[in-house]
Amino acid sequence: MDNKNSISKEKIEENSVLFVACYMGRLILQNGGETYRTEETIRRTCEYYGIKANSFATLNTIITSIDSSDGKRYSKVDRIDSRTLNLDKVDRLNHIARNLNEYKISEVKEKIMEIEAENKMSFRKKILGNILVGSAFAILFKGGIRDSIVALISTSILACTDELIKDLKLNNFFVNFIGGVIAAIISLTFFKFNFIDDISISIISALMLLVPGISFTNSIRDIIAGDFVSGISRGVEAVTTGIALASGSGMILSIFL
Amino acid sequence: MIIQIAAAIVATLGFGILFGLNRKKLFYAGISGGIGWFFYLISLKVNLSEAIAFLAASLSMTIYSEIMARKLKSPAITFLIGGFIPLVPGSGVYYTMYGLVKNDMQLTVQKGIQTFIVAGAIAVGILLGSTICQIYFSKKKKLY
Repeated sequence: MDNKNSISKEKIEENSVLFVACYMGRLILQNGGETYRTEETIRRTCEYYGIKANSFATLNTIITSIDSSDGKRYSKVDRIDSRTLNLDKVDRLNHIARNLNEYKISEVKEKIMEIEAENKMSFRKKILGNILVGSAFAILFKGGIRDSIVALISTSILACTDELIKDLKLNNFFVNFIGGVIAAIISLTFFKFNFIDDISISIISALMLLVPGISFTNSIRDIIAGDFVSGISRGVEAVTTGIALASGSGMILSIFL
Repeated sequence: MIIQIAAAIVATLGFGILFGLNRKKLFYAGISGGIGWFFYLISLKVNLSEAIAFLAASLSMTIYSEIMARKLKSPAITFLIGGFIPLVPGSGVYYTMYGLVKNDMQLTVQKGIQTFIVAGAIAVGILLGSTICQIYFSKKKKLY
């Protein structure tokens, strides 16, 4: 990373380096990268172009400041509203950040824009993923083939619902609440027809798509690693999602069971 | 047990698809889920406690992911996050909150404590695994 070749010797405007670095950091965070990876990417990118930078990222903000050669300091704040998990994009951004010597800075910018503009998952892939997850988890939770079938139906309906409401940009709490309601209604229906013996297996298998297991684990990992701010905010995120799901399914089950 | 491991692999694959992994990485991520669940089941078979079983699972999986990350030159979380899905206490968080909603305090406390133990064990496993790999691979300059 240290060997500077001819490309880095071109006259580089510090502001555009700051812009590119923050852009890259923002996309990594938005697509599910860790906060430390975001900070490191921004710092490394600036350092590659010979600029000293400091960055601090939480789940909702990235703050970066650079010391420019004329003695002035520039800073940039990025507000992150929504995050999804797209590990492929994180992987490719990470790859660009570690191979900056292959591109000019304008090319880097173009590449990043290309990655950002890529459309999201196709509906077919989404439904395939959902079905695999739901049916496999019913088996992992020691359910039978019937639980698996019910979970499969719930997850495909969850995928359809997600597809329908994704353009509305609804509040996350509400989306999870609806997810809980749907999973509970479907399992309850099959339970009433005596198709399954245990109602909770198929509900939780379907909800595995939404439950915040990863956030919760990451939160504890961040706290142990000394990243208290993002650790606590991830933990709060996990608990909020859990409450939303449980109140959705709990409401249905207490009314009808 | 084989069915369980197969189910863990399928669940990991499903999440891998949702996380937008491409085919080759999907395959390795699936194996990561299988490895984790295998070590978890083995640990329970030899009568280790639940927490230790989760620690063993996440430790083995982290080491696998770090090795694959270096081989395939892609960040370790690509393999890690999918593989963790079967292990992480998502259902625990759900049942804890469900107990609160249903006013079943026994369920809440029991599941809540269990969730913390499981998540803690997994987190310690990840940290141990990545630290071990960092020390082992420290000769190489490029850390992925």
